Amino acid sequence: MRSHNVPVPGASPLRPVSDLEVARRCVSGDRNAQREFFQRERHRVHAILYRIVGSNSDMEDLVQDAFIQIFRSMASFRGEASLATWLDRVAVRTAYSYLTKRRNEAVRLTVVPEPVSTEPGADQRLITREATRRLYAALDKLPAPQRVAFTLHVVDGRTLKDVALAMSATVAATKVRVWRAWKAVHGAARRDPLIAELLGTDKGE
Amino acid sequence: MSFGKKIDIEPLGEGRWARIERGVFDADLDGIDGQRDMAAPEEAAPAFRWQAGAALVIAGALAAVFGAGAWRLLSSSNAGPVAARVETASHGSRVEVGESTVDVAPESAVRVTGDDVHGVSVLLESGRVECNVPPRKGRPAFLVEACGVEVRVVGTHFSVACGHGAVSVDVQRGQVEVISGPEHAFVPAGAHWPLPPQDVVTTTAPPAAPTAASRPKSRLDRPMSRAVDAETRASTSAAKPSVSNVAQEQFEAASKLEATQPEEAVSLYRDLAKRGGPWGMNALYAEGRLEVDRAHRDDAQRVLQEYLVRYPTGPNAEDARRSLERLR
Repeated sequence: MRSHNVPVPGASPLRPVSDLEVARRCVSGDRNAQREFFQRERHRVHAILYRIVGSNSDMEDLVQDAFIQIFRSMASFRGEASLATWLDRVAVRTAYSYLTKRRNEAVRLTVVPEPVSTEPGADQRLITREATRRLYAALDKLPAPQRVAFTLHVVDGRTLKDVALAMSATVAATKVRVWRAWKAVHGAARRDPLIAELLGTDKGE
Repeated sequence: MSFGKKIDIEPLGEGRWARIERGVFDADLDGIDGQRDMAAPEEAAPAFRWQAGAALVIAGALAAVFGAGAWRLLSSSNAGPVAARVETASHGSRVEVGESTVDVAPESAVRVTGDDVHGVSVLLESGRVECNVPPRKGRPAFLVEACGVEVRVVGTHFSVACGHGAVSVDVQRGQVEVISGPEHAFVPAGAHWPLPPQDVVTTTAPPAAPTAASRPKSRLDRPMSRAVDAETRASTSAAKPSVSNVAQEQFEAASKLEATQPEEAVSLYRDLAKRGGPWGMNALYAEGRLEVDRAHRDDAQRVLQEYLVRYPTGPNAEDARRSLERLR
């Protein structure tokens, strides 16, 4: 399914009509619409979850949980924001819930096989991958709100306003969370040159 | 500042997407129609809230009158799939789902859904459950999930405990498959999971035939890093490499090469598939999945069709059919 945003007489010009139509069909139990929606949005949901939690053996379950939540709460979509924004919010909530829950777990399983490659640039990719792993290990120590705000704003490059919207928080609160997370990440970068290189800072400064 | 572009998002293969999609829409069947409003209570209409409140009061009153006996009555009435949560205090409780029983230990919380026709799912939130499951005989699997660990059952008597994020499984009869993240383990009768490190051996895939056919969704196309079955456990001390060990190693080598040297991976999978056996079966599907990922439509169709001809009830038969549908 593709979004056409066809204007409808009487409808608010700010309201994406096709989004509402998609939501209406999904809520009505139209299985084809639900599957089309899943196919259309799966990479978006995966990307946002990946940015927040990083490489993770639970990713499959996380994406699944996010979509279950999306379909179950789609009846609450009123069209005030775009469906994409609403989708982001549900995905963020899923990631947040996962991070909060995971902090209480005794065992973590994050086994990711390292690729072996002889292609040009493979070494750099491996270094970036290792640096990323270390960055997310440092982020593991942060409270979930700080981590989510940091990953969305700093890693994914979203504006503070968008992050605040996705987290249902004020811009001021989001700014403080990002700032606190930055402080912790800079500390990690000072201790770890790989993280510093990833962040594009010199020893975290 | 954004450095996200430096960080590649690891893609999920079509096989994994197919599993996710199936998981979503399996849950959707149970949830979206009946639980849509429960999932978003803040959005529920006032009338529904009133009805839901009344229903809760009535349910509470019934529970108070009938107590644990109501559970047995409901579950043995064959009135359809069960969907309920049981939380025990100082006394345990028994839940009967079709022909299976779930004994919930004191101080435990568990959510039970489904029936013999649709499959049974037990989500252990805390504490311990003891399950007695008759052979599935082609019926959907009986699944227990505890703290992120999945126990897949094909007919057995076992218990699962979950506390402080740690899970343990004890098997009294039969054999269960435990899936914890990327790890698989087959726990035979008399054994305990997690296994002590010295007991962990990398060994054969399980014999596929009688049990694998009943799995509604299998993760067998993933490389198994840990697997123990009754026979191999008995011969752990010998630890001699077998044909199956070699096959598993080849499968894992192919799996590692998928991202960087796909042609080589295909070649290894093909070689394994020609030799047959459980790893050959897995390799044939993996080859098809890899061809889908590489957008080699014709090759993917040929391999997946071959898989369905050779293993029409194989653990990845459903995945293969779904992929073929998409390719058409």
